[in-house]
Amino acid sequence: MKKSLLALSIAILLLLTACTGTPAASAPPAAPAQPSAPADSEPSAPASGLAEVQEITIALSQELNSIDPAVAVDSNSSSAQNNIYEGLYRLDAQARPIPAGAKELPVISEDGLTYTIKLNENTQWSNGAKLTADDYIYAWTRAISADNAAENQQFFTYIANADEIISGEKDIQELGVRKIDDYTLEIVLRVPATYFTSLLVSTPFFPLNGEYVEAQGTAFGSDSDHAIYNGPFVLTEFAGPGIGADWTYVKNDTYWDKDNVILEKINIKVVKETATALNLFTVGEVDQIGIAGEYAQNEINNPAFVSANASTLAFLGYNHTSDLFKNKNAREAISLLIDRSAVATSLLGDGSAVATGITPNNVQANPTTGEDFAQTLGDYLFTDVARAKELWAQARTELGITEVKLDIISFDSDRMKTVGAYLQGLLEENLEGVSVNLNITPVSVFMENAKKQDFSLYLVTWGPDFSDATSLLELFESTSGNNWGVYSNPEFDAALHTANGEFATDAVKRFDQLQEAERIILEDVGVSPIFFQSSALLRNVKLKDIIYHTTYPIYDYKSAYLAD
Amino acid sequence: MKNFSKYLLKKIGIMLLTLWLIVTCTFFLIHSLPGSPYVNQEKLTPAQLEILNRQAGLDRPITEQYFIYFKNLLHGDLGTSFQFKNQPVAKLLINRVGPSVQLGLQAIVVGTVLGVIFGIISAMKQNTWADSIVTIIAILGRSIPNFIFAVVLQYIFAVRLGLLPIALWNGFSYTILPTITLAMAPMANSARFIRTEMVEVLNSDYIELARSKGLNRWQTAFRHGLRNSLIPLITLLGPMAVSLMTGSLVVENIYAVPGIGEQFVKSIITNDYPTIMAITILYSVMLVLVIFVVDLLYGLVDPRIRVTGGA
Repeated sequence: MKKSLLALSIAILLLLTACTGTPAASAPPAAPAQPSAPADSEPSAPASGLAEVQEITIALSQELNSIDPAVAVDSNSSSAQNNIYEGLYRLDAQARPIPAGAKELPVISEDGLTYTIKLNENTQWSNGAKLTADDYIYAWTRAISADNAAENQQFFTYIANADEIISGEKDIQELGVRKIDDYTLEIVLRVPATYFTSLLVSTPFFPLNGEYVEAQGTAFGSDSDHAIYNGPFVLTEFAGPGIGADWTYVKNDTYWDKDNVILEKINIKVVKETATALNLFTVGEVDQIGIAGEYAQNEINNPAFVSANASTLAFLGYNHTSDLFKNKNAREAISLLIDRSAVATSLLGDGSAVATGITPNNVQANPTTGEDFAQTLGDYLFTDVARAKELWAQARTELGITEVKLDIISFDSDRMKTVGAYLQGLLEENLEGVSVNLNITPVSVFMENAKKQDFSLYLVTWGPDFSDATSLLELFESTSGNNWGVYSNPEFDAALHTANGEFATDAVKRFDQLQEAERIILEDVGVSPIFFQSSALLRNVKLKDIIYHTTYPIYDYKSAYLAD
Repeated sequence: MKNFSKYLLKKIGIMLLTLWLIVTCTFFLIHSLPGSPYVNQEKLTPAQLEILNRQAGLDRPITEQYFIYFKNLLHGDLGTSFQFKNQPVAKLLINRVGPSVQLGLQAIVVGTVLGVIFGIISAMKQNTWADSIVTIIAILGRSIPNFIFAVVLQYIFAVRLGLLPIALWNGFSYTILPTITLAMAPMANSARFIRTEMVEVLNSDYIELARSKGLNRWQTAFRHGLRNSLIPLITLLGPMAVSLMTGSLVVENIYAVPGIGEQFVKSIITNDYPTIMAITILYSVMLVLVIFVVDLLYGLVDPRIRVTGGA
């Protein structure tokens, strides 16, 4: 309600100033000149606390890898592209898909396999071209034909024949997508997936104007002048992937919902050093920076401190191929030793939260009550050192071992080093006969070791790819390619299969079944969640309504504004 | 003249051979690193990796990959970055090397000029308070790592005094602090070298002779002392200039400079093979060229080193 009021007043403000306003010098050629708001022409109607100049500057720690939705894979590109392109749906603040490029939510067939989607007829490209069903089909087939399509396979895999096309067994023409008319799209799935609508917010599903992209050839996406946009903002002053250390989003005047976009300009600066970013923030040169580690600890009481919804799971995985960890008592002993609250609040103290299970908060909501998946799961993770020692003694007797050497592997990051060292001390101190070798290496080396099961325990973080508990739970399926600990529990597999098979079209039963699956693996101590990693930020207290998502795209500036 | 062209040809031949060796060694070394070059490699399944490797030609035997790479290289094709999608490495390099080279050149000029001045003062005013101050500056400049300078300078001149920008890359004023930071090492090195060499030269017999012929102290110092000290200085400065111009990870990060230094480190961490290769080649070409130029400069500074037959 507040937002629409704001939008209305902004629209009035713009309308009033459009006649007298002077075009800003930096307005890009792609977008019509932006009127600025001179102080004397402010409407008498209450400006509802909006700052006069709706321009912000944000420091990011990484360059923009790509502005081509087909090939982007990282979170930074995903957030950037979400500002300048728009797919069929966006996520609202509760992570529910809401229509954007589509007119309404999809009409799903009884068997859950066919999605019919009516498109929003008001959408258009920043060069004025119409946006139709062809643009979606063009973009998707282009993405699935891309050389690196397998990097985005987790998004496409649900569409009929997509896997076969990516592996080269089938022709792109056989992709399960077709146009019914200019404004109606039909998607056929391989298997029913109730969360498919949530997946459609991801960058690879963004539309592209085929005529424009083909005309550009390899130059498409090489800089901000070689792309056209359909999102709330258009991109300007971007010199190209890996080159541009700053770029700007300017409000898109051809955007169908421009009346609800308040910010006129967002400047992005790449600043890799947190200390530098902090200096820039302190003197007011930037409105938002990312912080971590000790910086986050130091700033946690700063009113500008924002701990964005902790959504990345950090867990300890067991090597289930080893005799030691085939023993449940051994696994449970380790899990019971971990003081999760101490890890999250004292050890890290950067806004990270105690893990309550595998699925983090705000990933999935109960379809009937709207309650959160994680918060209604129940308690399965405890700390009980005495019991842990007892179980360890039992395990040692059962396995007939006295001395054990454990290898914990993890990847090079401040948090992993801290938690890894904590675990090393914890296990050596409390478990008789245990010596721990902590092996922290660059990601690529860690991956090699993890994939070969060359470890006793692995410590890793994993963020959900889409807003559904399946995204993390499927990691521990016995057939999963990323199940590095080779956890194999037929009961767990069956529960997950039932949820996404038999109950695929029954949201209520499916939700319960997914919770059931998570309870099974937690009770079995198949894996030990430790904490939910936060993304801590310092943000200008006047900068409001940036939506944070637990999945890509993480930051959404469409509704953001600067308060007075 | 004939001797000189023979000398040049031989030099260039050796340079090319050196470059080929570097390219070849680097190629095989980086391909023996564990991991894959894909951005979200931690989430890829073995099946997906296989498809990606096939598409990228990384499933072929390593020697075959080497010959393909080398052939493309001879055609001037450095490949496409894995990290930055669809971005030709050549374009990436050309655009990012600018700020690094600019900072490197500024730093080497500022550093050397100041260093030479300090060195001369120090040598001429041996064992006075001026000498002591210069020595202290030189020792500090050499022993304090440049990230400390960077942070301290940034705090004092940008955050506290507000005289200069904190960071980012937006015009000449943005280059001042990083230049001073990077100039510390060449300044300290040149001051120390000049002082040592000049003190030695100034105490030698031929200086005594020059002095006795009526030349004054400063004239002899410049004509003989400085010239002789430049030889070791140039030898030292050449490679240092290359290392400065190819960027410093720490200084570029602290001042948010979009240079090449950070790219190099990041490309190694992420296994971005084409980028690692291209930056290595760039670095080696610059180094080899500078060494060549230094060789030629010797002759200019000291005619006695000029090429003669059989040299």
